[in-house]
Amino acid sequence: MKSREALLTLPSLLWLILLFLIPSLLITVISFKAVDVYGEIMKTWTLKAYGELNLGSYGPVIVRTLRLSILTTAICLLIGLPASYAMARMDWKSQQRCILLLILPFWTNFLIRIYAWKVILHPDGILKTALVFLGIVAPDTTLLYHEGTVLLVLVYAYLPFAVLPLYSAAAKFDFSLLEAGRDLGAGIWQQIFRIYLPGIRAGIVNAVLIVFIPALGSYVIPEIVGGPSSEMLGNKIAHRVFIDRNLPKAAALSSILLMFILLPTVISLFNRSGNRKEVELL
Amino acid sequence: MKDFLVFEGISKSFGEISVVNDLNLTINQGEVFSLLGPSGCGKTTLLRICAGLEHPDRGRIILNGRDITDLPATKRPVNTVFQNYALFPHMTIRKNIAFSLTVSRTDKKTIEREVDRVLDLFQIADQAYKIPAELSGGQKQRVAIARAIINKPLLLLLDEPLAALDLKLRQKMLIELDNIHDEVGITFLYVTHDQGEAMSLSDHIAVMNGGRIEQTGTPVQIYESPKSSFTAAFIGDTNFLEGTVKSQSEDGKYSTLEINGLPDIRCYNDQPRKEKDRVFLSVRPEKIRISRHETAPKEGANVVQGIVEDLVYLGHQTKYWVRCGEWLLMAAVSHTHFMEDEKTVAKEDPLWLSWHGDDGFMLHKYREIDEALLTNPDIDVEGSADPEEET
Repeated sequence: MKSREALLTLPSLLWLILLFLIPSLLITVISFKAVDVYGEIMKTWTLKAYGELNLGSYGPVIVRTLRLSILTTAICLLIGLPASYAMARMDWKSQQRCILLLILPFWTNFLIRIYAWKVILHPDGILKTALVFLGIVAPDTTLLYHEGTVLLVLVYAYLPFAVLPLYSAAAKFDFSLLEAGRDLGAGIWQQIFRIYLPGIRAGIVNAVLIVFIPALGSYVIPEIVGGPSSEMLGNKIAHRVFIDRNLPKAAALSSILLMFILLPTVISLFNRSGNRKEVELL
Repeated sequence: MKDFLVFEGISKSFGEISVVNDLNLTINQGEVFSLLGPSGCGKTTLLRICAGLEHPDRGRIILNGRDITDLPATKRPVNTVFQNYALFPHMTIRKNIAFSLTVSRTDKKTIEREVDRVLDLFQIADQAYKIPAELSGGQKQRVAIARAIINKPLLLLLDEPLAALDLKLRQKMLIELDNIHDEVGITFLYVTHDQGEAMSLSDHIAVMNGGRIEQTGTPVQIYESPKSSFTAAFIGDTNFLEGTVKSQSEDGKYSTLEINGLPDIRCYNDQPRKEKDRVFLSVRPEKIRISRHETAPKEGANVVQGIVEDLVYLGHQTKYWVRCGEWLLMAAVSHTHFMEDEKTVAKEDPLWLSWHGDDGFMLHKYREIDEALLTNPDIDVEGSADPEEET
């Protein structure tokens, strides 16, 4: 039985090896290679790519990337948790409609949706004009090319990815447990923090991973709606590849990004294997 | 204490559907009181109103002299054992049981002590660090009750607590529930559609139908002198015979009934009757004796003759459906003595049925639909549905 189960995991294992493990290793290997002036990778091994990463210029970018990713994840959770709760408590038909509304934007190309924000936020755009007209912002404010703009569009882009796993956990949640809690004297906040959130834990973990990891690697969004002061690590990597034609340097930056994702995951995995029950609950 | 829990004119509707209808009920302190009725009769809604999970449209609830109608569920000295137990799946048994104390911010030492006490009381101390998914049905049941009583509520509500268990375990848990009640001395309000559970556990039973109380009384009163055809048909089996009062005995204790196609039937008067009164006679099948030969009737007994139309051997008893003129009477005979080679009754055999005049009872309230309960106990009598019970 055990070996048959192992056999069933084989396709996904192969998938992971081919499309995750091997590319990651390749990138790591390239980051230790030297490069000639034409951008050709040479056979010699060197630590040059890492040595040239100077903290003075990359430090703020790394910090900003982390900050934006964490904020995006937090805001997506803050909006997604009540939204998914409300969806799960609707009747079946309304639930289906809401899911359709969530998926609908994906029928439009991602790039076009991001450009749409540029139009909306443009100095002569509809939002700016309306806000100035209502006296909410001064006429000389720019809505585009801020860190805040990047955050706004990041949240816009990743919110559906947060809501879907949260909703699927909430839909499976037994809401009579909240009544049991109420009956036993738990107020609304205690019902939320002691019963509901632990009950949809798996959904929260998935939502965090599914938003945080892509947000860390964002490139298109800060490139289009961000300015030089709101660049993320993804932009730097792209610059090294397309402008400098310095693959080892781009690979070194990518490896650092990979570390940000892998380290917490590995640590939490080890923590969890010490606690069998939590794994079972997931 | 009498009048410990009082429902005064409680009404509740969900949209167009009236689920509880101007209901009045009084429950004594320390007793086990059952709300018994078919699904959709409003019993669960009444329980939820009592717990504070629903608010009545009209009426008051008074618990221990205090009006709790507008008291939120979190503040009521009332706890519930839910039908599906509603144990918190992510918490250990210990944490589940400690929940009401934890949320009320009781100090740690008291919580530990109380949880240990309850774990011992329910003999689940060795399950304390498991999670609900690792427990059997009976163990979950115990945890659910333990969790509900740890905060010493004045009233424990039990919503079909045994419905999810299999028959043998249900019987065992019934005895355990009875012991728990003796041990903790809390008043139990028990909701069930199972007459056996209600009869064996309760001090008093209220039979509910269509959002109203059909009859309240002790199990014996409910079974032996039902006031309506609904009660008679819902609790146990019975035969209904329609007739008129022909005459009264000299002392006025018995009526003689004229029933189409049958000889005169004697029946005890539970209330004074007049000649020409239209009545419905109800005779429980187990009160009917059968005989293969015509014998001289015993003093006070009614004898009718019929042909066996159908019979079912059930092990502990055999049920006979006997055609007597236009009536089909069911008789249930227990096997106190069974001989393999004895000549048994077969279909088409003639049979003499007899029952004592004291064992029948006359009903003045009768509805055709109630007779359907005898063949289909799940029938939706009022056509109303309790949205909570539908799911």
